[in-house]
Amino acid sequence: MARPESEVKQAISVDIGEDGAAASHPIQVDFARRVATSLSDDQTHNTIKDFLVVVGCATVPDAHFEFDSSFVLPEARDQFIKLARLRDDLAENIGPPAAEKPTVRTPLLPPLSVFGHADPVGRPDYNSTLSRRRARAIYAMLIRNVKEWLDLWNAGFGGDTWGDKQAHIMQEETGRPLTSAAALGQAARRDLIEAYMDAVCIRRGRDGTVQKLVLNPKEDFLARGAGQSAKGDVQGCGEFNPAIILSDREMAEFSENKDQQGRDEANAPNRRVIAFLFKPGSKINPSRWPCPHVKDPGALGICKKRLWTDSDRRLKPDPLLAREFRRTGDTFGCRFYHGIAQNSPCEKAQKLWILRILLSPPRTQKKKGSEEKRQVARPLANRRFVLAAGDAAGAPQIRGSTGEDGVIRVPVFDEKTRMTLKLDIGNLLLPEGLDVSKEDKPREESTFASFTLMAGSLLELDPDDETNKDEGPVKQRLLNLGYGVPNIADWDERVLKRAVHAFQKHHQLPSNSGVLDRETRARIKEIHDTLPAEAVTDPAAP
Amino acid sequence: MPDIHVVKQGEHLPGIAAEHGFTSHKTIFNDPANAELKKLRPNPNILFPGDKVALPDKNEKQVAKPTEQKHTFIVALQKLKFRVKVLDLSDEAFGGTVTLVTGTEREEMKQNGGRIHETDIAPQVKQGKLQFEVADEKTQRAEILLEIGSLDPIREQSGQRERLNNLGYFAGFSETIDPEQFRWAVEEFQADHRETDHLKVTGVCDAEKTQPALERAYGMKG
Repeated sequence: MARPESEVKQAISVDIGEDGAAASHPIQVDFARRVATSLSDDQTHNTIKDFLVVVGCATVPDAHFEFDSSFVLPEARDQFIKLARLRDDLAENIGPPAAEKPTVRTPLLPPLSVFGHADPVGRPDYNSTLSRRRARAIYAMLIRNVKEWLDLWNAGFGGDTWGDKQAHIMQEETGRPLTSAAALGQAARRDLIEAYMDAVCIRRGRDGTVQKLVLNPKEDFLARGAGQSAKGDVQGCGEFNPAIILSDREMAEFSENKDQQGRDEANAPNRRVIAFLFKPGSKINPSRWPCPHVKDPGALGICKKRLWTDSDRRLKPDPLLAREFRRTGDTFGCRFYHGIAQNSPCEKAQKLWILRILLSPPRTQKKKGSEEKRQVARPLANRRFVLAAGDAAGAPQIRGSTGEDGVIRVPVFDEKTRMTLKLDIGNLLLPEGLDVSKEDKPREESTFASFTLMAGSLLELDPDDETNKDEGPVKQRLLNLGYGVPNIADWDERVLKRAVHAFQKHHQLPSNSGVLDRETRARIKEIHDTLPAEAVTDPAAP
Repeated sequence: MPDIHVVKQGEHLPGIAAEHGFTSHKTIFNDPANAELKKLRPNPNILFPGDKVALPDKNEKQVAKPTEQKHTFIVALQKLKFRVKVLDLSDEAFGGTVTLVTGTEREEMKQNGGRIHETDIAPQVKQGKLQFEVADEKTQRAEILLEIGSLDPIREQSGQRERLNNLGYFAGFSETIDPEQFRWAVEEFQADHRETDHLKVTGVCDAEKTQPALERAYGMKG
C-alpha cells in the first residue's frame, strides 16, 4: 500500500545501517480523489476510506537474536534506541501543516505493529511458529510483558529452548551472579527477565540521558491491544516474505558441501523482525485484520489465504541468481505484507529524485579598491515545497521542506515526467541579514515560486568525451546551476561561451577563457552531480 | 440535427444540461438520440471522456402575460447533490462536521442517519476539498482533495482504480499506469469481500461479480 496521504512532511531517515534499518518512509503523497455527483432523488453516495499509511520502520536483525531462538540479545539495544528516536521524530514531523496547528498541541505518536519473519529453510509450520515467537519476544519487551517471556522460556520450541546460556546472558547484562537456569524458580526468572528488559529496551533522550523504553499496549499499537493476543499489533509471517531467495545453484552447493552454516548465514537477512510505524492516529479493527494472532494454532493456513495469486512465481528460486526484494520488489508471497512493506526503507532500496537547491550569491556591485570576495551559492535550507509529479490534475503531490543542506528527496513515480516544483522562497529577495526563517506566519502555497523540472531528461556528461558537438549535457548542467538563458533552445555559441566563462570565474578555474576544456567539464559535472546517481540540481534563485 | 457534445474529463450530464440551458438533464438523457449513451452509461453523473451526447432542440414555452405588470417566473432547476461517506481504517463512518470547500465557498454538509454527508452543489463545480472538524485532537483528520464529477464509469479500468483508491485499496495514481499495483488492489478487495460478496481472488476486476461488488461497496452504480 504505497500509501499516499496528505500530511506530508520532510523525509527524515535515521541510520539505515548494516545492523538493520530504522528509518522513516521517505515521504508521503497526496492526490485528489475522483468522485461523482448524485441526484436529489437517488440514493447514491461516494465512499472515501483512509489508506493505511506506513511512516517509518525499525528492524531487529537476525544477529540480535540467539540463533534459531526468540531470545533477544543485548545487541538489540541500539535498535530500541533508534526506534524510540524515530518515533519521536515522526511525531514532530508528521501532522497537519504548521499553519493549521493549534499553538499547543501534543504531538501524536505513530502507532506500531510488529512483524516477525523466518527463513525458508526447514518446515513452513516450524518457521511460522519461530517467526511468531520472535515477534512476541520483541512486542513483549516493548510493553514489558514479563509473563510472555516467562512463557517463551518455560515452553521451549525446537531450537528455541532457553537454558543456562540465556540465563547467563541476562545475568551478565544485569550484573548478577551466574547460576544455572534450573536454579532459578519462577519468581527469580520473572525478576531476571524484568531487569534484563529494562537494561536492553531503552531510549536515550536528546540530552543523552538513558531511560527505559516502555510502550503502552492500549495506546501505542495499531490495534490498541483490542484483539486476542494483540492481534494486529504483533504477528509472524513465517517464511512467506523472504528478503532474499537463494538460487537453486547456491542451495545445491550448500547441500553438496554439507555446509549448513554457510546456508544459514546466507539466509540471515530473511530472519528479521520489523516494527512498522503508522500515521499518527491510525487505528485498525483487529477482527478485520488479515494476519492471525501470534498464538493462533491455525496461523499458517490463515497466512496462506492472503498470498498473492501468483505467489508461486514470487517465491520461486532462480536457477542461477539470488533474488532480493531490495532489488526486484517481488519476493514477498503475502500480498497484504507486500502492501505494507513495498516502499519501506527497511525492505527496499529507495529510488529517489534528489535535488539540491542553491541560492545565487547576490550580484553586488564591485566597489573600487575593495577586494573582490568570491561569493558561493548557499543552500536553500528549511524551505517548504510542493512538488507535482506530472502535469494532469490528480497527479501525485508531495509536500515537505528542504533540509539544512538544501536537499529534497522525492520518490520516483515515473522515470520520465514533467514535474512542477513550487518553492517557498518568500522574501529571499530582501537584503541579506534579515533572518527569513523566523517568521510568525507561514505563507500560502499560492505565493510559492514555480519551477518546471524535466525529470529523467538529464544527459550523461563524460568529461573526456569531446565528440558531443552540441554540448547538451554541459548546457543542461550550466542552466541548472543558474548560468546562461532560460531556454536551452536559445543557447547559441555566444551564450554557451559566456556561461562557461562565468562558471570558470566563479569556480576559479585556471582558465576562464570561456573555452570548454576537460577540466571545466569535469568541474561542471562534479558541482552539478555531487549527490548520488540520478541527481538533478535545480536552478538557483530566480 | 441535434448538436453533439463530446464529453471531457470532469463533465457529467447535469452539468452539460445546465451549461446548455436545459432545466433538467432528463430532457437530454431521455431523448431517443441518446438511447445508446443511456445504455452504456446508466448513471448520468458518470460519463467518460469521449462519450458523445446529443443535445436536442429546446422546447420553447410561451406564456401570455399582460404588459405593464411585474411577473415572476420560477424555473424548476434540478438540484444536484454531492454525497460522501468518510470511513476510517476500522470502517467507522465519520460523524463530525464536514465542510465542502469549493473555491471561496464553504458549505457545511448535512448528515443523514447512515452518516452520509450531503450538500447541494452547483453543476459547474469541478474541484473542492473536504474539511473535518473533530472534538478531540486524537481523531484529527486531514482535508481530502476532490475532483468532482471526474469519477469514471465502472466498466473502465480508470473507474475501477478510482473506486479502489477511494475505498482505501491503493491501486495506483491516475497518471502512471501500474499493473502490479492495480492487481494488488483488486486482489486485496476480493480477499476482503470473499465472504460478503462471494468473490474469488483472481486479480481480475471482472464485470460479473467484482465490478458489482465494487459498486455496492462504493455506494453508487454506473
